[in-house]
Amino acid sequence: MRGKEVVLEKVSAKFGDFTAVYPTDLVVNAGEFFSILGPSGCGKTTMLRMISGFLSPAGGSIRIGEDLMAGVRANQRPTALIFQNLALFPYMSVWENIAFGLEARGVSKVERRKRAQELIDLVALSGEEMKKPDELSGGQRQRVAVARALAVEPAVLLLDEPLSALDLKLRQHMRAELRHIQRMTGVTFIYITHDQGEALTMSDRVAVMNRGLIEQVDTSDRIYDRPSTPFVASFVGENNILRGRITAVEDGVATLESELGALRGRAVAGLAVGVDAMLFVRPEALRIGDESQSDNRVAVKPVRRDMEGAYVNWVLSAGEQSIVAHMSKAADAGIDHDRSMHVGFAADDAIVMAAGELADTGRQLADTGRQDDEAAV
Amino acid sequence: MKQLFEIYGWPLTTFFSACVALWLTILIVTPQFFMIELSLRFEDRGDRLTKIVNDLDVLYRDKGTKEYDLVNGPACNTTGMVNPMMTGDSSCAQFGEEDKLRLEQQVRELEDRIQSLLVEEQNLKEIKAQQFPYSVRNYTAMTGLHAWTLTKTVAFALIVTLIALAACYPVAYAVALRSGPVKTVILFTALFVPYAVNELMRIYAWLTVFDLHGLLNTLLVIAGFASFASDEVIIWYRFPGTVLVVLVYTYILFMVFPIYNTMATLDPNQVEAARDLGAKTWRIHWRVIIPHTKPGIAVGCIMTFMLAAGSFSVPYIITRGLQPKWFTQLIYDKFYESSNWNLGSAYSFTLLLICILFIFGVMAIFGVKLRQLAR
Ligand SMILES: Nc1ncnc2c1ncn2[C@@H]1O[C@H](COP(=O)(O)OP(=O)(O)O)[C@@H](O)[C@H]1O
Ligand SMILES: [Mg+2]
Repeated sequence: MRGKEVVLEKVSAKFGDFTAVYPTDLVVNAGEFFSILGPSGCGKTTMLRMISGFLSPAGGSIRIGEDLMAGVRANQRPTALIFQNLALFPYMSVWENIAFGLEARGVSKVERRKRAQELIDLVALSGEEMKKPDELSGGQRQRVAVARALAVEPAVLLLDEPLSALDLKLRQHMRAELRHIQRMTGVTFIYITHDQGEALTMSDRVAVMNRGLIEQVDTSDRIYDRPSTPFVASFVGENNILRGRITAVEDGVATLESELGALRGRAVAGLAVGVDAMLFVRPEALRIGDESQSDNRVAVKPVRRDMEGAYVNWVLSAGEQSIVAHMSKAADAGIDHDRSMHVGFAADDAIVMAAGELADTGRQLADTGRQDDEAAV
Repeated sequence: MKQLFEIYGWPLTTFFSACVALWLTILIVTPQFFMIELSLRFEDRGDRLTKIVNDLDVLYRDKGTKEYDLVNGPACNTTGMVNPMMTGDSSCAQFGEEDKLRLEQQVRELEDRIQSLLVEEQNLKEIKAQQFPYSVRNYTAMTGLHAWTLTKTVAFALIVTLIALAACYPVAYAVALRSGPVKTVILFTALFVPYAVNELMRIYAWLTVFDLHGLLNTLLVIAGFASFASDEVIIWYRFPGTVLVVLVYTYILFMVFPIYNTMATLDPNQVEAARDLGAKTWRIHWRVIIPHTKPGIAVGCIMTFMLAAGSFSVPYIITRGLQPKWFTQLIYDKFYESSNWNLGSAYSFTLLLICILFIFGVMAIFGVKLRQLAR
């Protein structure tokens, strides 16, 4: 295992009066594939630049392995950064690009060539050694950037949205490839992205960041199933959002008094009676037809039924509130369209938390209160 | 062309094309052709024909003087000074009969000689007209002294180019890659303001620095190394370094701009990437910044070299005649002092040729193509 752990303690960043990153504590384990997920402008790149040494934190300390990084310059840190635009050297051939870090360390040309060749093999670029970067395809350039960063044998590889320039298919392919390379080398990867799919599929753990603040650090599963803030719940995956006021919290189950009646869901820690709250429930957790046994039951009117292939997307309305439900094909076949419809969901599948800022993902499902909410912000 | 037609319609396009063609013809092609033609015609200042033409001039003048004397009598003036042009009798008396006969005899002799020279001139001219008029003798006729001047001028221009490059690269780097927008504006204003002043004024301004009682000497006097009273001051105009300094100053902007322009297009991430991979500053320059900036450096070097090698006003004003002439001054002399346009043209084309060689040399060194330079 070559990777080292990265520990941030109260690290913050400022540009003039503007705080780009609020004091942040973060532990990235050695050899971990760690992602930082957040909308663009939330401070991800800034965070990465502090770890790589291009930006001094306004406060706090960064430790990599055993070593504190204060005063250690970028070219002396055990990190390598893959830039958002790759920043390959256009006047050098592929192998020279890859060997540049070795060249900077005074490694002889023969040795450089040999080590570069190993990396070229690792990233499957054999035969392209002599080409210039602009003669390569997007995916190949991507691989050169990875190989160039790995050539200096970093303990930590920092990747700043490296796949954002690729088309969808290549992106999915490169995801697997990056994951593979990470496993092979055991280097700690800190991977930045605004694409939740990327973060969730590749990472051992994900940090979700919003406005300079990390809101949740967890495994992909827990980020999806157990979001801890309204932002995370609305940013990652799709969620129906139902608003109301907390009337009771018992045994981790909160009761929310909403326009649609009393609704019950798992309460996040620290939820108090009387506060304005939001209940999040995933479209796939909703049931139609066999909902009578559910903890929650809401009368709805069908608005639209979209056949999505693997599932059926139901758009429903309950008063002012619109609700989206995903039904498997089998479950959809059992729905009696003529009957007045109800949706139901288990309290365990819903999460209730104090109302807060939501992500502006442009794909909010069922949230009538959102406009007012934004006006208030 | 077709595009132009589509964008501007045929009347405008034709009009502009015609204007451009006219401009090219009148201001570039014709004069250049004329100069080349001139430079290839060798005027032998020592040949028989030139001598005859000169002799004829003298004979006509002598003849005129004697005819004047015949009509007006011997010259005499009230101060009693003898007219040095007058030969023979210096008294103020009237000519005697034998004097008149003698003068008439002299005039006839002169007319004979003129006549024979005219015939010879005619013959020579006919021979010359039949000869092939062009030769490269103007180009090969350069004396050792002038060749040395040319060498020195080119060497100085090279030094100026190198100094300007050494001075401009860091400036361009600082402005393009190391400073925020505000600093860039300030630096550029500082670079630009002096250039709002007329070039001659800028050069003359340096006289206040180099003059006997100028800034440099005043500083020396203040520091106690020199004295105005006992004339123990340095005559700066004698040092070739003064011309170098002023040339660098005069043409530095032509170096800064191309370098800045190309450097500003460098993706700062590349510099960071190189640093992140462990490269030290010099290697970042050598491997990342300079390769990117090459076309700009090449253009800057070419412009500065050509301007410095072709500069007339700077050496003319700064040397004050206290240093050997620059090649441009020689060319000027050929044209306007010895009226030998043929040799002058040949000299200027020699300089142009060297400049063109320099361009190709620079392009070879930097491995840039003409198309890249044009950007
Ligand atoms: N050099 C800078 N000067 C001033 N503000 C900056 C600078 N770099 C980034 N910012 C600001 O900091 C915030 C976070 O930027 P960044 O870390 O690049 O976001 P992300 O990578 O998540 O898209 C943004 O609002 C951005 O405008
Ligand atoms: Mg970014």
